[in-house]
Amino acid sequence: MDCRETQTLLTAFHDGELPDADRARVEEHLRGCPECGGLHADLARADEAAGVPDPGPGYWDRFNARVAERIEQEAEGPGGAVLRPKQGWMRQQLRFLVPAVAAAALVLVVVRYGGRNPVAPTPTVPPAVAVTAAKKTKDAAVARPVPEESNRAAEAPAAPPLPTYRTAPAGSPPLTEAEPKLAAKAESASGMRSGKDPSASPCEMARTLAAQGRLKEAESAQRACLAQDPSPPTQEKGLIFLAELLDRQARFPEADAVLTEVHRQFPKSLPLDLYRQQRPMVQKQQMPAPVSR
Amino acid sequence: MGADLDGEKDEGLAVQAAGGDRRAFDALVTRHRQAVYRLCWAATGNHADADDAAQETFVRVYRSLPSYDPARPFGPWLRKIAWNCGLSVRRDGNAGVPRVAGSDAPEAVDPAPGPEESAAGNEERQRMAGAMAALPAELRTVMVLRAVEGLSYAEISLVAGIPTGTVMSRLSRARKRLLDALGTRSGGGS
Repeated sequence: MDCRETQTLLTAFHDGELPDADRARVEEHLRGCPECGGLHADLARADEAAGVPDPGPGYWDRFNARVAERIEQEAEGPGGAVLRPKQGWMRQQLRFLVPAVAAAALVLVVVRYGGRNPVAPTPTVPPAVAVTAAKKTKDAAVARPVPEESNRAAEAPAAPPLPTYRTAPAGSPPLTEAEPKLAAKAESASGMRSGKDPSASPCEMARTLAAQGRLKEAESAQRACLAQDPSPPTQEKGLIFLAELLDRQARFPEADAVLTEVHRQFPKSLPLDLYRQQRPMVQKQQMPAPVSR
Repeated sequence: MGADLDGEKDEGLAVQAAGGDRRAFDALVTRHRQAVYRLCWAATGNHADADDAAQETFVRVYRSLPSYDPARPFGPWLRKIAWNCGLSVRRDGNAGVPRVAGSDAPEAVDPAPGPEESAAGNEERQRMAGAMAALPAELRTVMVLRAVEGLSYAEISLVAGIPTGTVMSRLSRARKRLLDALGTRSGGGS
C-alpha cells in the first residue's frame, strides 16, 4: 500500500471503520512511513480539540427540575393535553369512570321513562315534559355525561362535554384577546417558532448576528427587540441576552447594569441565576475572530 | 436517580415513564442529559440555544413516550429528537445554511482542570475550544458525535440524516479545519 492509498483510508482507519484486511495493510504502512504516521497523529490531535463545554454542576443540579417545570407549564397551557402521558393516572381513572357514570344515567332514564313498556314508546309523556324530566333526572343523578341512547329516548338536550385535562391559565385573559397589538408583536418576535419570516423579528436577527460574531449589530437588534416586545418573558430573557452580548464585547460594567435591572424586575429569575453561573466563561471568551466561509 | 432504577435499561425506563412513572422519566433525563446537551451544543454552537434545545428535547421525549416502541433502542431515538430540536432552535431565515458558531462557545473541555495545570495549558484549551466553536455546525456535529460521543459512522448517519460517506468526508474536513485553526498540522493531506 502506498502513501496515497493509505491517506485515502486514514480517516476511516482512525475511526475504526475499516474492514480487518484493509486495517492490517494500513497499519503495516504506518509502521514504515513517518509522513503518514504524522498525519495519523494529526487526526488524534484534532479529536482532542473536539470538546464541548460543560455548563458545570450548578446547571445540572437544576436541569431535571427545569424540564419538569417546562412540561408542567406546557401541559397547563393551550394545547397542553397532549403533554399528559396517555396512560397516566387520571386517564386510567377516567377510562373507567366515564362509562360507569354514563351507564348509571342510562339505567336511571330507562327505569324511569322506558322501563314500564320497553317495546312501545310512551305517548303519555309529551316531549317538553320529557326534557324537563330528563333534566331533573340528570341533576338528581349528578350524571353529567348522558349517554347518546338516553338522549334520544328522552329527547334531552345534548350532554355537556366530557371533562378535559386542559387547564386554562387563571388570571388574565389570553394575550390575543387582551392586547391584539402586543400579541402581534410577541408573535413576530417568536417568528421562528410560529413559522413566520424570522427576518422581520429583531429578536431573531439578534441571535443570528450574535452567532455570526457580529456582536455590535446583534446588540442593536436586541435593543430593538426589547423595545418592541415589553412582555415579561421577552424582557427577562432578552435583557440577559443583551448582557451576554455586552460581556462578549468586554463591556462588563454595562452588562452589570443590565443584570442588575433584570434582578430588580425579576428577583427570582432562574435564567439570571443560570447566566451568572455561565458568565465567567462568557467573559473569558469575548470576541473571537469571525470565521469566513 | 433512584438506586433501584440504576440497573434498569433505557427501554424499560421509557415504558415505565410512558405509564406515568415520573421517577423513571427523571432517571432517563439524568442518564442522558449531558449527551443531549452536547449534541444540542454541537447543533447550535452556543450555550443559550443548546440549553433551550436540550430542555425542549426532553419535553418532546415526554410527549412522545406513548408512541415509543421499546423494541427499538432508546438512544438513537433520543438522539434524533435532540438533533431535530437543535436544528429547530438554530434555524433562522437561512434555513438549512449552517450558522457560524458564536463566541459563547466552550471555555474549556474539562471544566475542572487540575491544580498543576499551567496558564499555557489553559490558553491552549481555550484555543481548542474556540476552534471547535468556529466550525460550521454540520462539521462540528459530526466531530462531537464521533470524537466526544464515540458513535460509529452508521450511528452518526442515522442521527444527522446523511450518508455514511458524507459522515466520513465531513469528519475529514472538520479535522483539517481544527488542525489549521490550531496550527498543529504536520503537513501533507489525506
